[in-house]
Amino acid sequence: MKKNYLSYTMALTLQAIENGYGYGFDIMAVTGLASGTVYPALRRLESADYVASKWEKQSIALAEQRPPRKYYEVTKAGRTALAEARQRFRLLSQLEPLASDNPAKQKS
Amino acid sequence: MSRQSKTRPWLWLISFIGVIVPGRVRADWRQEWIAELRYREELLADWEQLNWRTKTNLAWRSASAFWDALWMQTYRWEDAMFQDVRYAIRMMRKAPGFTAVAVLALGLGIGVNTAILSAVNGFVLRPLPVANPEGLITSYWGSKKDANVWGELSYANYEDLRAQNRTFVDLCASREASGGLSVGESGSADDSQRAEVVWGEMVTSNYFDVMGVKPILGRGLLPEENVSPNAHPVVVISQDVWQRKFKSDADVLGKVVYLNGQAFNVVGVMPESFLGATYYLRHSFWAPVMMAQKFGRRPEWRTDRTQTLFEMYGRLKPGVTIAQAEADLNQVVNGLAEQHPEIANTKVQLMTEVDGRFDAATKIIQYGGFMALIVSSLVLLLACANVANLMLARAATRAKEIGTRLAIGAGRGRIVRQLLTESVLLALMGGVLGWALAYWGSGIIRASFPPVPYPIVFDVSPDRYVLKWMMVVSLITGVIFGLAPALLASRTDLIAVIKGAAGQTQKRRRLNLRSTLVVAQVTISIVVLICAGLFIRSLRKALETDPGFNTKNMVTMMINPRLLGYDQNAIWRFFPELQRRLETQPGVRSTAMTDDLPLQAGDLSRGPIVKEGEADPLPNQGFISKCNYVSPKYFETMQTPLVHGRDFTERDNADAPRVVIVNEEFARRFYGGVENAMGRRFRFEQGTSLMEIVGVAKDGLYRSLYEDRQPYMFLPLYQQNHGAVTIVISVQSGSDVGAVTEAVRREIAQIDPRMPVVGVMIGDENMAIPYWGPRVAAGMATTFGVLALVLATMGLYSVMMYVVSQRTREIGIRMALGASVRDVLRMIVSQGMRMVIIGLALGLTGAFALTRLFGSLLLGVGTTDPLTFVGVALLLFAIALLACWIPARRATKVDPLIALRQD
Repeated sequence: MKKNYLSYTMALTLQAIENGYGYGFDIMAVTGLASGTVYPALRRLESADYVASKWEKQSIALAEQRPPRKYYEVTKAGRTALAEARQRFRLLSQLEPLASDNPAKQKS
Repeated sequence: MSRQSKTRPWLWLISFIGVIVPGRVRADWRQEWIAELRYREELLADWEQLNWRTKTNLAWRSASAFWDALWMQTYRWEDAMFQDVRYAIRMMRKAPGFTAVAVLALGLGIGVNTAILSAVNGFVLRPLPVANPEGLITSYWGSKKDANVWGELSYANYEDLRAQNRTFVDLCASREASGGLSVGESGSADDSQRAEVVWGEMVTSNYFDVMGVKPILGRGLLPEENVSPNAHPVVVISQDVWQRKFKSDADVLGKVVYLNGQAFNVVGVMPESFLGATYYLRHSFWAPVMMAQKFGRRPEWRTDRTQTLFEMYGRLKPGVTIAQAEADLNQVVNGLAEQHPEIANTKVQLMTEVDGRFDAATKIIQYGGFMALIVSSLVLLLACANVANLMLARAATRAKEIGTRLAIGAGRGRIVRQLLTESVLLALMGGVLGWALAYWGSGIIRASFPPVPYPIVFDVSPDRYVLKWMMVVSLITGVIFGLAPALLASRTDLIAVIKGAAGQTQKRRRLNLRSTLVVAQVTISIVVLICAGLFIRSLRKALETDPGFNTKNMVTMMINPRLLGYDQNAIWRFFPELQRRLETQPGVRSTAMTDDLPLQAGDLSRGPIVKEGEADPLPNQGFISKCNYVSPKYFETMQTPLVHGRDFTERDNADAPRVVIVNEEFARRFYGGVENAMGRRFRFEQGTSLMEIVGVAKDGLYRSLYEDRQPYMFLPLYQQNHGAVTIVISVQSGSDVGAVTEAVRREIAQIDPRMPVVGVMIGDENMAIPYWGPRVAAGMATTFGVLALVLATMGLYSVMMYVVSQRTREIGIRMALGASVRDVLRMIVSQGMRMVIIGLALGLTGAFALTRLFGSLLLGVGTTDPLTFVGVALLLFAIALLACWIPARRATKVDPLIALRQD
């Protein structure tokens, strides 16, 4: 088993999810990471069991007439890894938390 | 809904990129991306920013899905496998009979293997639970001349080796000791305070460091506790003692336990996993070696270089090999021998702790274990052949399916992989079944182990190591029995499939392979059956063998007055008193006391034998004879006849002239005859007094059922320091043995209520240990034999059924042209029996070769025992005949008209 070392990108992604940004695009927006980076990071985090994904209930999606969404959440192991990563990457703490239900501002 | 009609290139892009995502996860993947892009799109629309710029941005962002899709490629290999597995499960469910038979055959094969491996692992291979167990080195000390006499070394030699060697990080020494352990003052007779007999080790202070174990409480031993005798009564206890005697009291350190009447301060508690250096014993305490006198050692134990008491363990310096260390230690030994002539001609042999577990006598267990593994692997091979055969038959019926798959473009690799997946899946299912069977089997092996009065460690249940091994075996078997059929099947002739004649064109080659497999099965089963036959005969011989004593109506039990602090004079007064009082009990015919019961793995020997008037042999060169210490009436109680002379009496005590009783072989070997030996005198090493031969006992078996006739001596118990003895009671026939046993126990309690009595064995129980080996061997071999027979018969039968089904048309024509029922029967049966006879010939040859390896495990049966060989051959022949005859009879029932109308 290879050691699950968190790269800066992964740590940043993890921090973003922890702060409440549950979708890939939100994460991109808040972290400013390049497009091809966030998703692979998400997959890696998921296969390392640091984040768990959940499909939204079909009924909600139907009511809003759109395909069901997939949410990402930080797991317990992910939280531990994140705490560890914070020691190494101090800038992580500066990532702004999701203040309210307002979506993150589009930056580019 | 107006938005939906707009052009949204980002969603197209996702659909397009999604093509490269592996099928299994594709739908999920697309949905996630689409949902997210939609969400983003909605947000942008809500902010009224959904202009061309943000749209381009969205499209650009969606292109990042490509990287994501690339990442998903890792699922692709898994994906195909998933498909294969799903398909395989479907195929299995379609043919439940085939699946059940195959899984059962494999399960049995893997199960017996796992059970045997667990037993061997539990007994032979499992390393001690210490840090870095592979690096633990143990030593044997022995004579240069006789490679078979290996044993412990003396403390003085250990100290010199430790000080002078240059290759070890450290060396430690230990000696097991039994002790009566109690928490209260052992003077009180309260039942809860009664001393419990436990085993422990006397160890040097660096013992725990060398072993690499840390106490869970307190400390190990200190160097100053290793300096002067009897100065530091401290003890490290096992977790078990801590829990039972101190209720896991965290303040146990500094408290007192009594060992053999002496107070010891508890200084540490060892973890549960650590049971001491003797791999088969459960040790309960570790006391400084300097306290050895409290455990019955004479004061000279430290200085006398011929008192070889200690096991030595060590850790090599980095980069040093065992051979180098051995050379180094032997150099030290040679130096020591110059100063101390008593250890001339000795040497040290080093090996790892696991290798060092087996001396010449117990090697048989190790050897037997590995032999059992060989035979059980044969059974597994047989099961594999069987399943391969089934797979081949199935491949024939699936030729059409496979042909079709090939025809519409599947590669050969793909087909082979599919079929291999099926066989590996079968093997894994067999593995799971085998695992369950192994648990059950190891339970049986464990239950078969006779009761012994020692706290032995005999954990034979499969552990993680065995599980790993079994997984690998399952996978390998899956490949072994799956590969050939899969390769063959993938070579299906497409034209034949399309013409609807699949499975017939290549039946020649397939049948050849199947016949080969049947021959192999017969061969293997013959070998296994012959082994079974030999072991069954061996067990019968063992049960018939006269061991030279009679256990019928015999009760034995063990006591040790020394554990209660009796000194030697008190013990010498206690034993005759006990004997007299027990003999007054109703139903008791006679009683005796002995150091060791014969055949119970006791290992006493004295020597060298020096006849009166002869000079001492060179050090370590004379004849060492096995011996036993016995009380008066021993021969009467054991019902071993004295062919000459007299028994010992109570007057043969420490103050009387030394006497000895020898067996006939001893008399013959040393004095040329029984009469000639009477009254002769001999002695042991220098300084021992001459002993007169006052009696000659009939030859018997002493150490194992397998031994050859050998010289043996009986020395009087009352002329020797002794603590632990086994009391033997011969009960009058007609008396209730159980009641007598109870009466004896009551009587012992009356003499001294504190006296612990252990290891009570009644009648045949006394033979449980010697018969255990032959019984287990016969039981296992029979299981293997029956399995092998069933598997081989199944294989033969299924092939013959297949042959008949393939030849239906031909048989119909023959019968239409006038062939009689007998002709057809003969034709089919002879086709089958041809394979059987080839297999028989090969199997008998193989058995001749293989059984030679079993020679040392067999008792009174030659490895080429003709009865076994002929019997097994006939049995297999008869059963094979039946397995051919049933399909052949079916063939004769073929109605020519129907057969001809086929196709």
